[in-house]
Amino acid sequence: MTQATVLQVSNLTKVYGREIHLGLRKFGKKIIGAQNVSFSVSKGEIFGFLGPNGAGKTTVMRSILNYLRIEEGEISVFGLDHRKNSLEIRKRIGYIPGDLAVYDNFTGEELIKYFNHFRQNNLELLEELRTIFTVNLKQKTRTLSSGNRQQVGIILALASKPEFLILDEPSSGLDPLITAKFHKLLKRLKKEGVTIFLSSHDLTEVQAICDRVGIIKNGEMVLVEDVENLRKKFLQHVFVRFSSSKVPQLEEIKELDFVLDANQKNNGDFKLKIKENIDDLINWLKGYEIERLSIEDASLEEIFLHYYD
Amino acid sequence: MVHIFLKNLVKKWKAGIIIPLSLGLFVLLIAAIWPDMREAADLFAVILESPVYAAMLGDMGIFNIAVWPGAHQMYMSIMLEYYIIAVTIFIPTKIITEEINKKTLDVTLSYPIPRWRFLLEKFSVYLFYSLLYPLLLMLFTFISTEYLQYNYAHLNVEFDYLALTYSMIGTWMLFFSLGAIALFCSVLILDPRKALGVSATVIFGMFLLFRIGDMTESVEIIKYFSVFNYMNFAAIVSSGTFPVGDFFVLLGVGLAALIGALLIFQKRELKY
Ligand SMILES: Nc1ncnc2c1ncn2[C@@H]1O[C@H](COP(=O)(O)OP(=O)(O)OP(=O)(O)O)[C@@H](O)[C@H]1O
Ligand SMILES: [Mg+2]
Repeated sequence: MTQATVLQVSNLTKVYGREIHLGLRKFGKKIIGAQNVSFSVSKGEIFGFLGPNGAGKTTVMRSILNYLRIEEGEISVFGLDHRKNSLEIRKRIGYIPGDLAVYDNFTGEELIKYFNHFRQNNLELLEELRTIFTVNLKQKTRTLSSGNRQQVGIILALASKPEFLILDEPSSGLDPLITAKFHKLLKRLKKEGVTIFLSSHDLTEVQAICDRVGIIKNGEMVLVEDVENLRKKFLQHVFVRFSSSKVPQLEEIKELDFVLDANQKNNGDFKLKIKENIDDLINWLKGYEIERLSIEDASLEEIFLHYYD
Repeated sequence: MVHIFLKNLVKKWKAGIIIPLSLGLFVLLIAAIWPDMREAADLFAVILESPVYAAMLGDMGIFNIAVWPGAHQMYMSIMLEYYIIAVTIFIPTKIITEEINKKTLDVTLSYPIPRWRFLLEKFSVYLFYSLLYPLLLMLFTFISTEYLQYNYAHLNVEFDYLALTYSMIGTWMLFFSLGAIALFCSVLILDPRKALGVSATVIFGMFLLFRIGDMTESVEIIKYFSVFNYMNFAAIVSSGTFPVGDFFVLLGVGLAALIGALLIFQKRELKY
């Protein structure tokens, strides 16, 4: 079954700044925000967007909202062009910016009421949000703690129960209890057909709620994969003890192209980190006599970190 | 849908009322001291002829403060221009730069609000409060004149309200067209401090252009490039006629700047 595509990003390239050449001299500086980024998010999916600081997550999200002008590429939301149909798209989405700020001389209630004029609140969901989140909505947002202000941002973005949520680090600053409730809510909304595209630095969060992840690094999407597949497919730990007749050199092992990393313990056992091709490993091991062998999936955290550096 | 307008109308009511009120209330003060002031009218005439005042007030700085309209005109000529300069530099520029400073645009514009409309509604709030300048000034002028006529009947105080009305329409037009120019600069630049710098340079620059052109016959032509040259308060009051041409110049400049600002904001990248 192919699900409808809600977000389609193709070859997105965003460059900040401009270089001006006058003769041999160069003025200004180009900074790549995102380069040739392609991915899509299907209806009813929670897509996690990961990557180190400054990798380009916010850049991609703000491009989708048509805040940034992209140099190259195409973005469509609900099959509509993100630029030409921006207004139509914004009727059906909810957004939490990474650097959240709301009008600070208003209370949460006032903001809810004000933005209701532009995107009608879903009263049922709003009621639920009021019970989940602990923030005092009668307090001016200027006087709220940053976590509480984030709660207001979440309530505002979700209040109309939009079809598609674009959440830039939505749980930053939330306490663990609220975070857990928020995750539960997202999962339920997903079941009700809401599509969610969220960025995060919290790997447990991604592991807990995302169906798929995209990892962006230096503006480039280095991986898009099902969370379930990730483990199996990407990184495994191999522990091997060779019988003493023939033992390969550590250097030799490190040279193998399916081996990402290897080291030797004091007792002579080898510990290998391998990528994808278990067949290659088996073929290679055939050349040796083996006393003990075990293969373990790496933790997701390890996989992510591997892509981070 | 005028929710953005209404929200900002409420949000800005204090500054929106207090600034024009402060300008207006001074009319009462001038009226209160005028009977004493006129005793020293001869001395004032000498002072006003000095080059310093001529520079400040321009060619029309020759006021006959022996009569109430002259004193009124002197106050207005000095203060009104400075108010116009200060207000049009700061307030329209802040319409967008304040949102950028506080980072509130990202949330607001994620709602289905056309950007041009957002800007127009906020600018309309500025235009609305700018109306208070002419209205309050006329009100306080009226009260002052009544007060003087009642308490100083022997001075035969008179006032040409028609000319005042004309000049007040001109004042509002100046708020409109200079405000639109500042708005244009701010959406073009976006960066709050730079935008303020550019707006200030453009508006104050135009003021200087007008003053210099007005004082120096050899470069008189430059004053026509300044918005301040049109529907000038003192010129209208002294001629007593409505300068239709000037009105359309200001309307045209203001509309062009406003439409330009709306178009730019609608299209431009929100990068800061
Ligand atoms: N306004 C700007 N001008 C110039 N460069 C910018 C601007 N905004 C972002 N960048 C650059 O673009 C790159 C990507 O930034 P972006 O904010 O998208 O990263 P991010 O993945 O969201 O990071 P974080 O995890 O810290 O939120 C960075 O190198 C950053 O310096
Ligand atoms: Mg970010």
